[in-house]
Amino acid sequence: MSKTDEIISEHHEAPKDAGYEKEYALLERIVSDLSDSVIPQDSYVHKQHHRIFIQVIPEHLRDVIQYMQETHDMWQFSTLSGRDLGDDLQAIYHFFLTELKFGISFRVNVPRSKPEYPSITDLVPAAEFVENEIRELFGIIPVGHPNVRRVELPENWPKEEYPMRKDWTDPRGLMTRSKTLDAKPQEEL
Amino acid sequence: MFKLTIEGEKIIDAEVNIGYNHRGIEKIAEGNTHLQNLYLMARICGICSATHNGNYAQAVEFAAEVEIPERAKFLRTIVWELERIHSHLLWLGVAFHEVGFDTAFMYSWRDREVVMDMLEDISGNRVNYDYNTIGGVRRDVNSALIERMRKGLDKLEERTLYYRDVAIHEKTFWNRVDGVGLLPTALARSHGAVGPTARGSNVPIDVRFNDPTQAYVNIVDSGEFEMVLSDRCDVAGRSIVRVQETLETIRMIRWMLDNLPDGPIRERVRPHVQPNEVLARYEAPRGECVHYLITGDGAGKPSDKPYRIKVRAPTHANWVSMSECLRGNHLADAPIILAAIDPCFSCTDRVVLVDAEDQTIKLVPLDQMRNQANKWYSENPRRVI
Repeated sequence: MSKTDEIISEHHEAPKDAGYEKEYALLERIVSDLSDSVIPQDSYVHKQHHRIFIQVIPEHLRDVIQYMQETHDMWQFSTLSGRDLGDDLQAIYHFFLTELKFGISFRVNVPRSKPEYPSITDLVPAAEFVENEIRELFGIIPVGHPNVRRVELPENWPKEEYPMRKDWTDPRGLMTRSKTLDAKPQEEL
Repeated sequence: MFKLTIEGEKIIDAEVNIGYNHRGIEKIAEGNTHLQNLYLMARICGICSATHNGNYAQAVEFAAEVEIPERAKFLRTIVWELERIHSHLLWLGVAFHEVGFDTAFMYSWRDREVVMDMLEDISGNRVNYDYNTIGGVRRDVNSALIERMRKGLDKLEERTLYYRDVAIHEKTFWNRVDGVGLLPTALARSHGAVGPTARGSNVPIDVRFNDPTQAYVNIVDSGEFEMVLSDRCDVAGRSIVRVQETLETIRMIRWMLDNLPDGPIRERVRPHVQPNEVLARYEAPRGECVHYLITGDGAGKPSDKPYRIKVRAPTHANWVSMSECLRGNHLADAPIILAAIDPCFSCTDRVVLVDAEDQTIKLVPLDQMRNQANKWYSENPRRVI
């Protein structure tokens, strides 16, 4: 790989003319219909075929999902993944448009100091488990979730510790105790 | 641990708890290189290890924007489809076992050995094959191996046809699954059911046809194969989808062996991958498996480690509709309804029964519950009108 200091963006945008016309048509329609809810400069069509990423303003997430369900018949929910961006935390909802065969992802960035955004579980019942999961692993809180409970981590896990954040320091040495990371010391064999 | 609230013999409410099994694989993966992660991902599940292993490999290839050789694509898909046969036969055995039909359970697991031997032949391992690598596959096949595979496929086809007849015509099995565990189409769609659970409820989602990758592109283009669907919406529908899909899969493997291209099996990929984000999909035997991979070091530089990997395994998606599926059924039907999504949990998992009248709680191991259910049905035979 090149040793230069150039910064490569994660957003590998697709060329506008070569076989991505359908994706661009959909993206442009969404951006023009929801001009006050999405951030157009961070929304793009990915080079990997059939993938669209859309950046949404957290307060308008519910409007966007509702619009997609009503206008584009979006029913296939895949998953919700979280991400640590440093000052911000990011929640990414992955949906699939089954008829068009597209994967479409909606991202919301929330500040680390107040990581809250409205829950969509009542619109998309399939999101119930994963919204609880992101609360546990990232500390991102979907406000208005109808059934808050612990789903993934053990019952005695401390409340203010979110293991998937990048600044989690592993205070109890759980990762170093793991056999998958390292060979056992000689004296233990 | 499942919490079932019962009124007499009826389940009136169900709550699904996944239990203490969080292994932190996503966190461990952030500290490993892509090549190490291939083997870590294979160990997410012992039954669908080619699923996670292959899907991670294709995610890294998408991120690095490399095209792998045609032969590697075909070989990767052949192992994926062999795994589907072994998983569906395993499920069929489990389903027979859950309804107390142990003879068929023993038979179907005996015949599953045929496909296990084929997997060992092609990859070197019976489980955790680790057949894929970044940029292709690890081993090539020769004509003698292809001959052996064809023989094995003939045997499997003959036996699967027999099990299809057993599942449909044998009352011991059919009466226990017919009309049990209803999951209406609308519910399956809104609650995100995947795989044979969704297709048994007439929801047409199958990544092999919806968003094909690897050799599935050629398979779909050939136009000889169709998605298997059932509109029965019950456990019987899910069984039919699985058995029928096994037959379809055998045909797919034959087609791929007939059209296997020549050439190299591996493309070299540099260990440092450019920053990128990809969503890799693959239809695992249980449903759609999604890997969302972010490469690079998070600051715009190439890196040999993933910045973040999110794995959505299919059973996780099927839990949500499970409680809807259980509600309103007899307690004695709970074991087969739980087994019908082909879940990955240890058989020592417990079920908590809460009596709706006096709120008493009883903790029951799953195998004890299965025995009770089969006993209950031997005393109260089900009359299907």
